[in-house]
Amino acid sequence: MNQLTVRQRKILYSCTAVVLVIPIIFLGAPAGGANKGFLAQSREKNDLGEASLGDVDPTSATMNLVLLGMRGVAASVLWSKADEYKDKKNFTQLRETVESIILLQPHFKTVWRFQAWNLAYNVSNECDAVADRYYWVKEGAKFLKRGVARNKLVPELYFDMGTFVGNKLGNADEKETYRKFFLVDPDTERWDGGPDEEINPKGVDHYLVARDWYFDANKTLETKGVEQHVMDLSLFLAYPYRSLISYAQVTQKDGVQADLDSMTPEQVTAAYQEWANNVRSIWDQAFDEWTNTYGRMKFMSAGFGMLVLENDEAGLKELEELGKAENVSFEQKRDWQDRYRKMTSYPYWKLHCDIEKRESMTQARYHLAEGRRLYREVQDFDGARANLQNGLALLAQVIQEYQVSAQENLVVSDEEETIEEALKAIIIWRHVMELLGQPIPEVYPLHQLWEIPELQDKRQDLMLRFQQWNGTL
Amino acid sequence: MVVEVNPFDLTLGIVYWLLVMVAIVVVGLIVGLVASLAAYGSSGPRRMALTIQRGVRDLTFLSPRRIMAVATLTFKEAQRRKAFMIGLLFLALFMFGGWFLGGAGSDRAAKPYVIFVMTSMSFLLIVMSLLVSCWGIPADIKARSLHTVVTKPVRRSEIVIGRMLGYIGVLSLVLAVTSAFGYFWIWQKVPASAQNQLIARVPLYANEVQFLDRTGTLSNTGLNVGDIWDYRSFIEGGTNSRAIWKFNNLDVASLKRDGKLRLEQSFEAFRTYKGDINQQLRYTLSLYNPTTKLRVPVGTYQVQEHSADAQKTTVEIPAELIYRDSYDLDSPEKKVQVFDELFDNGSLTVEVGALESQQYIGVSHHDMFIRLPDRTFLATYVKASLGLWLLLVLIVIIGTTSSCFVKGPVATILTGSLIFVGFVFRGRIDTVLRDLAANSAPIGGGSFESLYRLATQMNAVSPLPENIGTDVIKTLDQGVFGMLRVVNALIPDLQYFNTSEYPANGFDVPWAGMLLPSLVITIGFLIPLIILGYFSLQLRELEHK
Repeated sequence: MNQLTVRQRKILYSCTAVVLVIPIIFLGAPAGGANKGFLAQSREKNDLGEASLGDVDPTSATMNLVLLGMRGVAASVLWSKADEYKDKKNFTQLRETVESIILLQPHFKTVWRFQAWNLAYNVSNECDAVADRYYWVKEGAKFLKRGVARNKLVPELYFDMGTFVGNKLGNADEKETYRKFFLVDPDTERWDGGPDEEINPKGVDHYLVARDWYFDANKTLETKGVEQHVMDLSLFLAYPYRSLISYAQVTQKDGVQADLDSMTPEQVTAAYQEWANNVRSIWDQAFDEWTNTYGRMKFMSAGFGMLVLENDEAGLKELEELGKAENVSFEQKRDWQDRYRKMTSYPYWKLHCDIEKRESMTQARYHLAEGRRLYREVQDFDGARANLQNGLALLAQVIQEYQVSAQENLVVSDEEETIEEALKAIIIWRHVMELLGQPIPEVYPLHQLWEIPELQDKRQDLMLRFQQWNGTL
Repeated sequence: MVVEVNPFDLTLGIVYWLLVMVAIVVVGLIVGLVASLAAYGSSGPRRMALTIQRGVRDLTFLSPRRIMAVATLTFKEAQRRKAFMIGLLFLALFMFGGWFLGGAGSDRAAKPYVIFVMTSMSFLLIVMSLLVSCWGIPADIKARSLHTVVTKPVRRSEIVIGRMLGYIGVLSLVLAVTSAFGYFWIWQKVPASAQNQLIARVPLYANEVQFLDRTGTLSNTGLNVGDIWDYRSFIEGGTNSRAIWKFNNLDVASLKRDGKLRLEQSFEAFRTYKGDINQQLRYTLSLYNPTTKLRVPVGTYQVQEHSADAQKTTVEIPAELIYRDSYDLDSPEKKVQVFDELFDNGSLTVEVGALESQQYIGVSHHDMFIRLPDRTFLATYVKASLGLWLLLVLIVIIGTTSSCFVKGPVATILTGSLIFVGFVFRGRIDTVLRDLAANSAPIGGGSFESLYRLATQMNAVSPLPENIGTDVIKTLDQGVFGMLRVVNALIPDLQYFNTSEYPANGFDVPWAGMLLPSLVITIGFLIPLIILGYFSLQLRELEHK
């Protein structure tokens, strides 16, 4: 059948090989030099080179080449194994398998997101000791951090880092312990009583670290062609500023971090002053960034061009100009601005920062917390009563400042958390008065709040919770 | 450590092996008879009888000297073909492996290093054993060097056995060198803080475990808390719920010599409410003598979930235990001689309860054991290497035999597939056959039924329509299941050869649980495969390349 001799066949094969090599040489020519290869040009144009995607891992690149076309099969088997290891609580093997997966799929963002969440949320949840849980949350964050380094233009990964460090640590049941661990790692042998420098190199609060990650996520969006697919852009952009607000809230809630009972009144005042100055400066910064940075940020809305959220004089002028540039009426722009202001809760956070940055509000928060502490921990009922009364009076003063009409008060209508705080303080104060054998006067600070009929359910619920907290139910 | 390997019943295994052997012999005789009739007509049966007669003689009268000569030649040939260069590849892996392993903060810092060494050795040596054993004889036939051998006064059975021994010698040498290198590498690479994890705990597991429910009624399992993995069942805290381990036939004198009783656990915690999150859940531990009805509370301990530190998970009970049998702190202290008063005729009953109300503790049979005196890491490492060696021997036996009747590439694929199926799918086949025995058919049916369900997008549990098509599908599936049974009987059960988890988790490789089954399986394949290899080589046309 085959009429060719061995020699002829060899020549034919050699010629075919040479012919096939020619297009490969042209296609694969390097980017530098006079003759840029087609693939190199296309790679540069579309930012698809390993180096432009993130750090290059030679092992990963080699592994993908060595596996030829079987990378998908190998990755599927490893995913299945990882799932099995998770179910069987074989976390060490899970960790190693995840390492193998990322060698095969270093630029598949879902691998990094899914497996990091797996470690930080699902695996940590399996452990009973808080230090163990914290260890796995850190493992998830560290894993994701490596994903960020390998995929520098994926905003979702930066965003998830912010969520891990911010929300996961800040919203967990163990949040108070986690916050301490973030500053003083439980692995004292390795970190010498300091933070785990791999996730907290500056040794600051976790919300501040999260804020930096969120800023990085926002910055990534400035690169041409980069988009995020997590949520609406206006909400996504708000996260660094919301992190600062969260930081202000927890710093305020932490209270004065000192043993007040062993201090002289002068020392207490000094400690309070230091704390109050810090809290107020954070709230000031939070208000400023929320209104002057985030509020004036121009962003692309989902269907109605560019918008800004701030609606003061300068903000409205900016909106009008945007409308003109896009040939859209001012009224239409205002309508969409209102929708976005509601969606992002922009007015709420603006009001909240405005209230909290007031000196009287900081004083009120301090006295209410101190009154609670003296009642609960020291059983100094006179001190508790005095502090609670002071706190309520200061709070009443603040609330009064937001009375916009005879019927409407902005704090009462919008600040549910502040109102709850006030009602709790009244409940404790009333209880302290009972314990001291003193009658409740008809008029006392915020007595109008106590009597608002719409708050009756809330009041009853809080009284029930107080009895549980007090151990009298 | 999680133990999911099925216990090996030696007697049942031998009976099963004999049955399979008889079946193979009968099938072999029938096939041989038909083939001889087809090839030689009426003289076929006589030729077949002569071949069998010669086979019996060749397989019985073996010369160790000639076998050793063939084995030595095989060894030298492997040396000439630079088979030992695989060791260099191994060296390269070790040089760079440490870069990618472990994390300084990891709780089980030693495990990745041990797993890495065992996995690298397995991977490289399995590939090497496949290649050397499957390509040797076909290469000899192709190069016609086998002609020189078969014309000498040497039986073909001796060639097969000699070849196998030669390959085993080559692999044993490489394994010995690499495992020695690996051992020192582990000690060098494992962080100093984790070197206490390089131990060989010797567990003595209970003969049975029972549960009491919250009312104190006896049952075989605890509660299911909805965990996907049903390895553990749970006991409820603050109730009469208990897990009870019964250890029988204990060598009390030997335990007494140690001066203490060590009980180790690997329980799991399950909370139904947050509770005090800074405190781990606790369990209560009691020893009970059913004859004297003496129940001694030993204490309460933290669960230490997922801890790799054996110190934390072990409770040491002194020979003389002081205890109070009342919650009243003013109640008098009592004294008990643990080995004399709590052991009941060589038996020990251990009761575990969860301390806190509405919180649960998950336990399994192997989660509680008596920890006998530890052995050295070297001992378990050598045993794990022995397990790998038995696997390599098995591959050599299968590979050499298959190379007697097919060419090198086909023999490699055949042997590789058997090993792959044995490792990866054997467990799944076992599950399907177990389901088949219990429910008459696995969920979703066999291959044909699954194909039908896929094509019609029908879920796995909906009943099929009652018609002739369903009958046909079910009948075809019965054929598939039959084939699956045959496959299951013929492929080696390799779960016992995978011993690397033991040294990796700081446990001694059990002789009866792992090494003995591996040895028996290897011998079980050795005998029929030598016979098969001999007849294949005897009847093979060596001129045909």
